[in-house]
Amino acid sequence: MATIRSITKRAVARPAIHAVRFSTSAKCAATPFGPPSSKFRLPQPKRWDDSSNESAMDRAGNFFLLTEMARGMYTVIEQYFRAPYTIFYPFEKGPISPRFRGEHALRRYPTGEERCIACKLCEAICPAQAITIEAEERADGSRRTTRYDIDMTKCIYCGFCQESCPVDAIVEGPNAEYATETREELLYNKEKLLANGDKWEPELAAAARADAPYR
Amino acid sequence: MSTITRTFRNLWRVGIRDAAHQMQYIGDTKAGTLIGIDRYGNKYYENLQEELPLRTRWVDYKQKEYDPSQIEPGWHLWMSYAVDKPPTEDPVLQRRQREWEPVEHRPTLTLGRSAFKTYSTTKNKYFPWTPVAKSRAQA
Repeated sequence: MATIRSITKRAVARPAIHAVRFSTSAKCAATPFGPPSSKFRLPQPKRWDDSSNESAMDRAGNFFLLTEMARGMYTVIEQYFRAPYTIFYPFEKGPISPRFRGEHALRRYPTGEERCIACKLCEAICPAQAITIEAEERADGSRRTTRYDIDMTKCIYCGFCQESCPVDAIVEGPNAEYATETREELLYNKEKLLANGDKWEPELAAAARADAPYR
Repeated sequence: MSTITRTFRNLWRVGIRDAAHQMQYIGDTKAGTLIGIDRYGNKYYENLQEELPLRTRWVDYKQKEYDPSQIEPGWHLWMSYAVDKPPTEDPVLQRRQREWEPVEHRPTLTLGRSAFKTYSTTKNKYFPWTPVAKSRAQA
C-alpha cells in the first residue's frame, strides 16, 4: 500500500520535470561498469601540417629546405617500386562467368539451320525495346525472320531475350570487346547477329556446358 | 613497373630481349610457360604459381596495334578464366568443327571500310510509283 501511495505521489509531483527533460528513462552508462574513462577515446593522430609543437626554427627549416616536397616525392617513388595490384588489361583480363551477358548472337542448329522461329517473345519482353523483328513465310513453308535488328546502343543487357527464347536462338555471348568508333556500327542486323553466332559458337557451347548442371 | 627484385628476377628468366618487349607493351616483366599460340600468332602464357590472382594468364599480341578483340574465340574464354584447360586441350572449344563456322578470325574492324555498316534485310514496304498512262482513244 505504501509503495502504491508513493508511486501515485511521484506521478502527481513530477510531470513538470518530465516535460523539461524530454526523457523518462533512467540514465544508463555505456558499459555495465559505468561510463568510460576520460582516456577512452584515442587522441587525434598527429597531422602532417600540425606544427604546434615545433619551434619557429624547425618550421622555418622545413619551409626553406622543402622537406614536404621531398616527402611527397618519396611517396611517389615508393608507389613506383611497389608491386601493382591492378590487372594489366589488354594483356591480362578479369574473370567472366559462363552466364556473362555480353554481345548478342543468333545461334544455329548443327545442320546450319537458324534457330530463330520469329516468335517475337524477345521483342515483346525487351524492356529497352531494342529488338525489331519482322517475319515471313520462307519458301519451304517454315516461319523465319526477315528482319532481326538489335540496337546495341539501346540494349541494357538484362538478358531477358535469352531467357524468353524458346529455342535458344538469341543468346548473349561471353564477348564484351566489340567497342566501335561510331554509333552506327552498333545497329546490328540479322546477318551480323548470325555471323556473331557462327564466330562465337565454341564459346557459347562451353558456356552452356559450364551452366548445364544448374539448369 | 613492379618491385625491383621481381622485375630483375623475371628479366633474368626471360632474357633482355623479351623483358624489353614486355616492358614496352605490358609494362611489367612476366615469366611463365607458353601454353599455346593461336592461328594469328598471339602467344598465351600462364604462371599459376608465382603470379597474383587474375594476373596468372596473359597474352603477348602479335600485332603492334594490339586490341583485345584480336584474341580468338576459345582463347578469349581461357584468358577470362572461364575454363581451366586451354582450347588446345578442350574438345568443346575447338574451332572450325561445324562447316558454317568462319574460316578465319576477324577482330572488330571499326571506323574503316571493313567496319560493319547496317542495312535492311527486308524488302521495302513501299516502292516508287511508275505511272502507266493508257493512250486515249482517238475519235
